Amino acid sequence: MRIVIVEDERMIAERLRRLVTEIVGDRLESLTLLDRFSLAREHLATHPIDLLFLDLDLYGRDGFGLLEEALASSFATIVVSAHHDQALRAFELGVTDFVPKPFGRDRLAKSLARLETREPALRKQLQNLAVRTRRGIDLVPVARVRYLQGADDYTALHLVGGQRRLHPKSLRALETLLPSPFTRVHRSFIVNLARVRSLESHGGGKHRIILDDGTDVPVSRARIAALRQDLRMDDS
Amino acid sequence: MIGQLHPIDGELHQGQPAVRATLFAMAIPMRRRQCGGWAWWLSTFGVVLSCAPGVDEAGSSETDVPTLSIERVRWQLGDDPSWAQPALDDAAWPTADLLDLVGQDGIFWLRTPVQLGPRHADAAVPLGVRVSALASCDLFWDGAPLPGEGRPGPDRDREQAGPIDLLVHLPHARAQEGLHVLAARCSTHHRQIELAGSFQTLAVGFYGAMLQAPLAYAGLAMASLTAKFVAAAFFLSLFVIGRRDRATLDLGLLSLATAGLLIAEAWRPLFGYPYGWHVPRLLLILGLAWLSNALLVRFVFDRFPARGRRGLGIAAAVASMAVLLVEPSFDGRVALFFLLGLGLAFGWCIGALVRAAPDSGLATAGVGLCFVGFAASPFRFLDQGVFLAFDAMLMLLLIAQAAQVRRERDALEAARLRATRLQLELVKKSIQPHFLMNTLTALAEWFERQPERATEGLEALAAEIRLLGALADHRTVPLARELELCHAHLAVMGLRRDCAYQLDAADLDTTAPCPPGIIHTLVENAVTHGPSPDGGSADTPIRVSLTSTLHEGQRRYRLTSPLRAPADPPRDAETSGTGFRYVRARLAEAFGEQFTFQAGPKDDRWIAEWSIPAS
Repeated sequence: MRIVIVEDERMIAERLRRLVTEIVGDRLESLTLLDRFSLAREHLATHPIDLLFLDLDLYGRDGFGLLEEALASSFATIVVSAHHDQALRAFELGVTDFVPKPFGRDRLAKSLARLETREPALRKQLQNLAVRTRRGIDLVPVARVRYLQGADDYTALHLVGGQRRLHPKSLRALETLLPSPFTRVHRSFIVNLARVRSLESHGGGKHRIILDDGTDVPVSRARIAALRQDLRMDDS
Repeated sequence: MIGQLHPIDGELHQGQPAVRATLFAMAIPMRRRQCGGWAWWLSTFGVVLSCAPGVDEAGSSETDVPTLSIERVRWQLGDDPSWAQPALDDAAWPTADLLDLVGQDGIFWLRTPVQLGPRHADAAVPLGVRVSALASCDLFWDGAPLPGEGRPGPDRDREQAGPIDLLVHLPHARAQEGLHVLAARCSTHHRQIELAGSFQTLAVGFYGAMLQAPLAYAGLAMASLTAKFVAAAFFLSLFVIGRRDRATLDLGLLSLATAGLLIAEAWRPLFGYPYGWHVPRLLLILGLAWLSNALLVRFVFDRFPARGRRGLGIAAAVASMAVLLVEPSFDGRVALFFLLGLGLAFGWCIGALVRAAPDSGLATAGVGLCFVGFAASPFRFLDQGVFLAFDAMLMLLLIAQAAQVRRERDALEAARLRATRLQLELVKKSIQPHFLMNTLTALAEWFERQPERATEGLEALAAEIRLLGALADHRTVPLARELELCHAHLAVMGLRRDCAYQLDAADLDTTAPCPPGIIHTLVENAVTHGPSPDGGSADTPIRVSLTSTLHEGQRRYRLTSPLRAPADPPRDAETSGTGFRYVRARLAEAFGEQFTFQAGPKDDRWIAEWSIPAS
């Protein structure tokens, strides 16, 4: 696992390094400590990583700019912050976890375990998906997403209005972040149930979801039962 | 030779302002004579500027009795009772202008014919003889004595000093139409110094007008006096009850000085006095005129401070001395003091107006009114307009002061509100999540690594929180307490960053007042802007130094700290804005407008400088 810690408080950075090293053990491939905004941006642009620990308050600077950039990337982000009131905003942007300061080994271990087991985030409060565009970072409200289609290293977001955006996170990584109306219906598709018009059966156990703009999305056999239940629940 | 008879200005009979008439009658003739070159120039300048005619020659009014003002007389040193007789042939006596007659060391006589017309002979019009002189006089009308005060004598002991202004009734039976002779037996042993002339007025005219005119002047003078005392009471009590600024004190004293000047001026028509007191009174008037103008100048200097005050003040003092040396007459000196004072004050006010200083418009109008009035006709202004113009000026300055008080009160209220917020802000620092949670996290790490250092850190944190709470609600605290807070903060930050910070603050007056939390805020800022922790170890700590100097009544502080490498400069507005607002607000709360503050990077240092009053 390749990890970067961005934290300007030296003792806290050291603490993170020590505890993460202990918890991750042999699976740790690399661990980099950075204390500056600019250094972090440079490093992340050139080094592929798996996990970022990010302090939101670097030398008095608001770290949300960097956070949005981070969330538009493929790696997972765990915010470590003294400002507990920022947790909700961070979760709305799609952080994997928010570790409030001061923290101990157990809290950090839990956060890392959740990441490893890909268990859904405890607080699925994602409101926006950060998407990198030529202009910078765009925050796309999740309510505007009809469905998500997984490719190899990225995910295509199909939006209301027919637009398409690419997100560097895998479909699986996004699944852990997206809130409840989003349901995995196929190995390569996640659908926003709020946008479903009907579920059609095509015989031979083949099913397709018809969305509100007429688009159809395949449903895998294994997931049909759960989907039916979700849709009923949704109707009720 | 027969002395010429001239009706004096005629103003006495025309219902013109009595003030003007009286003072003119009493004082102007001597003044014109006594004034030296400067004063003459001033007078000429005034006449050129003034559009209003100074003398009204028309002589008819309700009484239609011309006042006969004697300008030339025959006089003779010596004493002989027969010199009172109208038949005496005095052709051999020398003639002189009345105003040129100076004091003598023995008894001397004056004689002059007086031609009374048909109006003078009217029984309904009581006549009087007026003498204004620095002399004791026995008056004789056609050889018969007139009642009077004072008694001439051959030497000082035997002379009984007469009043400066004598007005005696001329019985109707003796005031028939035709030629009469007025004689005066005089002595001047109670004069202190030789003035240019001992006689100011010798006149025959309507008794009532000559009696009433001074009292009418006195009434106006008293009204003006009341205004001045009210103004003095207002400014002085304002000063005493807390507004301890020099401008307010100056105005209070200026009101008192002009009130004193008014009393000294009005004393003569109101109460009169033996002529021996005339010179002391003139000296008093001269001193009060100087004081009034000096206070006016000091007020505008204090009220609208700018560079060059000291130089101008010294120049004005030197010019005042020069006036005393160069100008011989009292009235000329008084006029020149007013020219100096009003001119300088007016110029200074215009300068303040150009700089758009608050209330400079009101002050310029007030001082300008006096200056223009003075410049238009210096002696008329001093005799007639000065007190009313000063009242108007004081009123405008009072409004200006009130406006300033109002502004300051508003500022104070705003400052109080700010102070409450500032207290809260300082207390909040100790529980600010960024500070507290980061510190606790760092301490957690120290507990697991080196418990004894963690304990040090806890103690420092406790000290910082305790001090923040204790100092917050004070307007200022001794510098020592503020430094204690800074040391605690640097100890905490050193542990958080595993480096050493050092605050060099030797040779400071640790009892000096300091608004709480300002150096703490600047030190916090210095740490934020400072080099990354690699820069400081126990051997080579990151040094923050505080120095202080005294300069022109101000204590200047300078906090210097190293600046982080420019690779990642912090955005000032974000990192320093709140802190600097706090510092400025605290300084304003403690020292009003009497502080300066600036901070910013310079070369490789971060420098914060501020100055506050030294006492």
